[in-house]
Amino acid sequence: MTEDRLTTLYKTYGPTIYIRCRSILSDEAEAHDATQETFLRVYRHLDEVPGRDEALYWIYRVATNYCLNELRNRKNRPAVARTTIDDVPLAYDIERRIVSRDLAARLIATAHPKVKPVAWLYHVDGLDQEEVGKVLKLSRRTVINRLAAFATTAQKLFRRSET
Amino acid sequence: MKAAHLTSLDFDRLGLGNLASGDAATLRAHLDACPDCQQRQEHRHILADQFAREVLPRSLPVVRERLSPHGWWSRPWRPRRLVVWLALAPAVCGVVLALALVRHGKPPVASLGADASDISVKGRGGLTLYVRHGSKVARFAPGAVLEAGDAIRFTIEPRGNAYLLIVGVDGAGAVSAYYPFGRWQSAPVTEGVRFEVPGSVVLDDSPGPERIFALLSPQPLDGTWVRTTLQALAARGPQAIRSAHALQLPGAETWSVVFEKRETPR
Repeated sequence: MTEDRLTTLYKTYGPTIYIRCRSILSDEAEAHDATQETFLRVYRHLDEVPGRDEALYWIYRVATNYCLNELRNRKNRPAVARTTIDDVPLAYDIERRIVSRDLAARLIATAHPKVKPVAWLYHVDGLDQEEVGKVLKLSRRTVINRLAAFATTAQKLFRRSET
Repeated sequence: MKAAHLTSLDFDRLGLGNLASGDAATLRAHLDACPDCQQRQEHRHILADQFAREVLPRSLPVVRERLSPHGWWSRPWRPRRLVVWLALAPAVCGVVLALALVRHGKPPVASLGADASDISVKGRGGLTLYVRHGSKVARFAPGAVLEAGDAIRFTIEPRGNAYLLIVGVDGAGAVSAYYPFGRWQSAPVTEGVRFEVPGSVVLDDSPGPERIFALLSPQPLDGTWVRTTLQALAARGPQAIRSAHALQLPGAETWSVVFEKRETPR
């Protein structure tokens, strides 16, 4: 390991990882920690990844799985609520985004662990089935099946909330 | 691209230059014509700047240390190795403890003092608290009464020690690590540079005192002892929390501040 290479890679992929973690966790401090943990996981095996696009898919896979696990673990943390006084201006259609994102996040939180990353990448990130498969190294058939399983769970929740 | 707009993956590919020129041109053409995607791109630029300005300087030294071949945590966990370590754990723990006792005489222990006043809440640098109450943000005044829902932010100016741990204990008996959040292990900060702790703490509705301690140490600090000390303090009740002004830990600078929480008036 050379320090220069480490710094270069962190500067190259760090912003991508940080933005990804902020997007999923919606918490600045947690995103800091998640970025560090994700990069450590990525760096240790980056030499084994053949191309830059593959590296990007891999980063998405590691960051998404790590952050979704963190969301699950939040339930076990101390009761003090923690939010960010965000200094980032988000003027664009913020209410719609928050409502739809919050709904998607709550639905995904109830899904099976294998279904969660598929549902997040497809429904929140807007990736198509093929891209989801590439990121998660799943066949398209598996992606379709897991999205179908998510849809079934979501429909049940909707029906339950209507009754 | 499934949706009508660029996905996060599209933005990242564009940013990293991973796309063939034709694909990149298609995405750029959409970007040039789509205000929604332009705003998302602007937001991503802000976050990327934030990474370069705040996250990179703080986390790169930690990453480097953790990836060092000499760091014990740098070794990947493998089930077989884990089994061996688990089998050896009691013996290893005994040896480590014995070595620590031989080297230091006794393990470092956090203890509570009852100094005359809270330290460095104002003036002299050190720890500063800002409180957001409704839409107003003000610097914290010692002895202030805060309400459930008030949000606190911390800033600190490290003057020589470079690892920070911020913890708290409240009258309901809860102990919390606020920086790094949820972790009882100090994290590096840059010496001489005012550090804004990311995020804020939103107070819950349990009334009574809450005391915050900030600890700066020259070496990474394992907060296990701190947590144990705070748990013992919590067990002694609210009055003990109000009067325990200092958390004394060998080699560490400490600051402390106490405030009272009250339920939001209806």
